[in-house]
Amino acid sequence: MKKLGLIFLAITIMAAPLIGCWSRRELDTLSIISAIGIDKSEEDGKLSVTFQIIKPSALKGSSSSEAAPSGSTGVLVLTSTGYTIIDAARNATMQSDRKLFFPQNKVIVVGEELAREGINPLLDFLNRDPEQRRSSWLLVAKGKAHDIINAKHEQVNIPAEAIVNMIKSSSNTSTAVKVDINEFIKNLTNPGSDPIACRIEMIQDDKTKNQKMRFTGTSVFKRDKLIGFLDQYETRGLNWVLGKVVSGIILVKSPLDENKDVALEIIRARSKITPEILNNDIKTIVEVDAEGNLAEQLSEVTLTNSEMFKKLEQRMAQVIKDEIQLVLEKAQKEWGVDIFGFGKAVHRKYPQVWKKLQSNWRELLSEVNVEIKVKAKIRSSGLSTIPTGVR
Amino acid sequence: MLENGKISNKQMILIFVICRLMLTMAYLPYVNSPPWNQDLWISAILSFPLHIILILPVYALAMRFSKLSLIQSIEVILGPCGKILGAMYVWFFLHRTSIILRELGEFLTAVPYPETPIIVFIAVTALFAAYAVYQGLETICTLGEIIAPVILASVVLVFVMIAKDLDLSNLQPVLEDGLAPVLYGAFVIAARTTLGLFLWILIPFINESGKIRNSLLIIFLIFALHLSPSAIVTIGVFGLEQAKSLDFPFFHVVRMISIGDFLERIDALFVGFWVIGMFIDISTHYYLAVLTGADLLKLKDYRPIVLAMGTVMVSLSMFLADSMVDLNEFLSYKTLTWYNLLFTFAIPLLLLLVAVVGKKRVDY
Repeated sequence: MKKLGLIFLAITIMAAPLIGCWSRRELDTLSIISAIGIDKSEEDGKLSVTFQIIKPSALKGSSSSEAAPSGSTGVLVLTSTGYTIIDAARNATMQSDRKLFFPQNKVIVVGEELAREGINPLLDFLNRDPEQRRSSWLLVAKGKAHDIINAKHEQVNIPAEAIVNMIKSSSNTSTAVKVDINEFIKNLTNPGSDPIACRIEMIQDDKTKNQKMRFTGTSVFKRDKLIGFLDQYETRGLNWVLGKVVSGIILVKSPLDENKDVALEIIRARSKITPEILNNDIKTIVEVDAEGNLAEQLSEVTLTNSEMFKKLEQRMAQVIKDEIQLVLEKAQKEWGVDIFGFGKAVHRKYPQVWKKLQSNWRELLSEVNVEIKVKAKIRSSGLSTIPTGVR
Repeated sequence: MLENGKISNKQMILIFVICRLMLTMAYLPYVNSPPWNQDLWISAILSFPLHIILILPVYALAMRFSKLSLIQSIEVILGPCGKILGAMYVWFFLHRTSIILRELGEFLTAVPYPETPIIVFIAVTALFAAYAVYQGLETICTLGEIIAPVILASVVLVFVMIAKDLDLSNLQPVLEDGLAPVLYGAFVIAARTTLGLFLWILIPFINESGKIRNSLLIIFLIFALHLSPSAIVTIGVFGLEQAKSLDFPFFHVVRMISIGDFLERIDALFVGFWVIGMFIDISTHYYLAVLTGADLLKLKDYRPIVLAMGTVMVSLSMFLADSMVDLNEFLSYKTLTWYNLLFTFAIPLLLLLVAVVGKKRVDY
């Protein structure tokens, strides 16, 4: 009997902690955030932070065809101001009936104006707060971040999801960069590299007056301050150097018909950065190996022979070289930022010399002689050999 | 004899490894100590020989008095004056248990439960650990035997799952500042190990004392082979500068894991394993403190002082430091290395000299 009593007591005690946790948070008391946009506020020294909050009711039919009628979104957009991000987040509870909940957040957009003043102060919160994920994507908006967070998307109910999908599918063109908070901070803190982030902007359709989100290249930072933008081709040039080109289309003129285009699809690419230092003269060799397929041609000539392939390969290499040249011209010569990681490469190969160069690397960078070596290879011609001829 | 249980060599290996690993798993304190650069993984490997060197005096002492406990052998060597030294060792384990309790609480309040008072975690864990200590050495070791393989496997799994996100170029250049800082780093890692004292206390209860040397080598090898990949993944994922600024670098690595779109955010699972491992760690340290304390007081049974010591540990862990920043100052390589070495190397070395010169030995 006594033993039975003990067991009963033990079970009661063990059951006690099961009823709940200290600071339990139920789903219906949380505002689940899917994206954050950070802007400079009109008030002096304040931040204006826009939160995209998922409406739980919208989650039900988000992927099915009977989703909410077009025009309505599955999110609520709140804007609040504060002196720091967390200050603004807490102030947002004045408008929301629930406490903001960050761990599901996947997108962080920073407004252009704020980015130009330096985004390092923002990174501290993203780094320190246990609710934040370092794998959230970081983007810089052309204009206000608020507009991006406020934008609608016709295919998915949660616009943040659309941005994530756009980032993932950007490897089809390689004309955008994939940068998360971790990558950005890594490039910011490591000596010998400058950070970059994807650039997003709202494009207006002239006929329908609809606004749509669109990736338009790369935002380049000098230390933590936005210094300028790269367009899509320059972005691919950057991706060639970084070895991050996955796929994409290269247009060249047909060797037999100079007015018509030939589209070459990139299958894979590799790159290698090798610094060489000879009596205080720093030289960097960028080697790019690219493989492609003949994807489409507009001319009515036969390109499927080895002689033509050679010519196409030469032209492809030239295009790649030009794209790299474009970005080097801008980033290295004009802005003096090392978004390519040339400094890191020097550090790796010449650790002792790097100690002397490190402090004024950005000034030295424009003196660095960059040699670009591109090897292009065309592997196949798709399913047809000769184009359909019109008689 | 205060303890009638016996443990096998396998149990000894697993318990020792868990006790050495758990704090490192979350805090990875070596990122901010020598060699201060990406060569940390080399230091981790070199810690293997340094571990062997640093454990030699304790090992020799333990072997010389293999049927006696720590307190008894000190008393044989120094006579009645040994009591003071014995009390110092009781303090060492008491203090160590409090530190581990506090670190458990600090981690849980920093990451998963920011709003819960830290005393809740410390007191509850200490209470459960007290129960484990009540049950004796064999219970703790069996628990370790069940759980240690799971924890070791989960760590290996983390290495595998994060492998695709590694940027090994972060680990270059190798040996940037030469070998000296790397060796210093290995020394700091080895000096944090207090396993020699575990051995000294537990040697009367280990089944096959002939295999102890091999077991120790296996323990140090496992540790080096665990710490080195930990350093590689942490610096590989975050880069050196970032890794230094993180409070719980290895935990952050686990948070970065994302395979496909489905296998991600497994950090809660990691916290679960970690808490279980920490529980074994705490129970073992707690047990050693209680056993040594009872030995010092010449009690017939150690059980009456379990709760008393637990109360002291819980309060000590609360008063230890005002905040985590304070605690980290003590735990940094500048202080803890020398504090540990006093107990694990300097005192045993002196005792060994006295024992050899004074021809103190026990005949069985």
